[in-house]
Amino acid sequence: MFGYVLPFKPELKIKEYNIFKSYYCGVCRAIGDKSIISRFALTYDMTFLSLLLSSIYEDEQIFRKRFCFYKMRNVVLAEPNLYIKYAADMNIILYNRKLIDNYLDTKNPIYILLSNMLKSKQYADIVNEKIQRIDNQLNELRKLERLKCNSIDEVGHCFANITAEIFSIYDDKYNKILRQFGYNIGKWIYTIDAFDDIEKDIKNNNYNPCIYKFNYKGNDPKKFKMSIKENIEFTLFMCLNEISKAFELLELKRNRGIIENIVYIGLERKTMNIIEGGCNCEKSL
Amino acid sequence: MRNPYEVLGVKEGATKEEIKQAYRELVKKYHPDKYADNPLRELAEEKMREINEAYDYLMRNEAGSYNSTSENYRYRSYNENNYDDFNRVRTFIEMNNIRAAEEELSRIRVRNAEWYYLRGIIYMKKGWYSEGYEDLQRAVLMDPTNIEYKQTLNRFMEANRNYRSYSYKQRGGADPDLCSICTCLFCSDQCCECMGGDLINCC
Repeated sequence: MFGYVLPFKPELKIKEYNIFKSYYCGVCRAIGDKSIISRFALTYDMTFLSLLLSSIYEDEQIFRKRFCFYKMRNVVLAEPNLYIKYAADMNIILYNRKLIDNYLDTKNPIYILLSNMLKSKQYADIVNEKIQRIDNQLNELRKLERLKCNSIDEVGHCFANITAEIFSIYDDKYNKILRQFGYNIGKWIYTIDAFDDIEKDIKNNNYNPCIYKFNYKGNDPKKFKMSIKENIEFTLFMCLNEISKAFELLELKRNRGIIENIVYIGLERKTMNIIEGGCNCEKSL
Repeated sequence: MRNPYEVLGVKEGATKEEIKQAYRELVKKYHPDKYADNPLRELAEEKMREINEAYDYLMRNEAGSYNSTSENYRYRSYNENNYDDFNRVRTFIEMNNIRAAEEELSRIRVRNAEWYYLRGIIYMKKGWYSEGYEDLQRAVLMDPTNIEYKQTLNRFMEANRNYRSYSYKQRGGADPDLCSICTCLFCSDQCCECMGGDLINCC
């Protein structure tokens, strides 16, 4: 995943901001317990996942002060609960798969080396069940990419299935909602990432579903992006609308404000920024 | 079976063209779509069946041989069966059986506005918004007079706008502009003056 799922900081309360940060540190810590190097692969998307699942399922959230070697100071972190650990495992797996993917694309052995370093020997039980399904979808995705599939929905569908799988962890009353939530967030991430990378992919001659879907004919990439803006914008906002609908059906035990911020403001901001080609140099939280 | 000529309301010995013409008129009149929410729906369907049988019978007999039957049959299927097929697709969509709807739709050969419209709806339900948007737009372009297509497309756009306006509200909307500040001050001043005081003493 790529770190698109973020709260919009100016609209967060300071206490909410602190909680979000402590979850970020919590996931980081949980990753560190499994594989220290993987900490560098930490993403905000997984922080959001841990926050969402904890807010739905966990009865208590415990915060602790710990010393952080990366920041060289004490930080408050959310004590890794089941969901934070789950998100951490997912983070490791997805990054590992991404590196393998890079290797398959470039045949550069450094990626194989890195992917061997960035993995864990043992995952939680719920994770093991998911891995097989995730890998199946990833294979499907690779196949479509190799065939230069011309439907952004079809390729994105595989990716969205993966996120749907990741978000829906139990077979309970929330399963369907979280599946829908995950599916649309995956669709959104895949689409926005594809749109964001058009110029880069045209330059490097990489596969990008937008190029094939909208028949790029070698004109100015900027103009090409403008011409497909309408369709992409519609698609992205459809996803966000579905996400918000699913979100309203969830019963959260806490942290509603932060998640609401992400669902309604953070994602909207990100979409508008990328669609309008605004600056992508937003500071990290 | 009633006399098929009577059913279709044509003279005995009418030409192929005349029969087709009459058939087309009748289909329009008794089409199940017109009776969708009507208590007489079943009667209309019964009537439609009778008309189809009569038409089939006449076309077959008039043509005489089986060879041309297939051609006639195809004609009929173009005019009437497609409505049935499309309706089947619609029913599946209503029942939320997207896979069946997709299969049913892929069996239909004609690529008219309705076909694209239904595919668009199916894509939307599947979460394939990019393709769905394209198909709906194409349907509207192919048949600009159709209100249903346009309304559906607008409904989706409206949903997106709702999300965005909610997002805007979440952000606390805009800050009060100069005009509303002035109005506010002016009203306060008026109120104060009513009570004998003064808020802005220059006016």
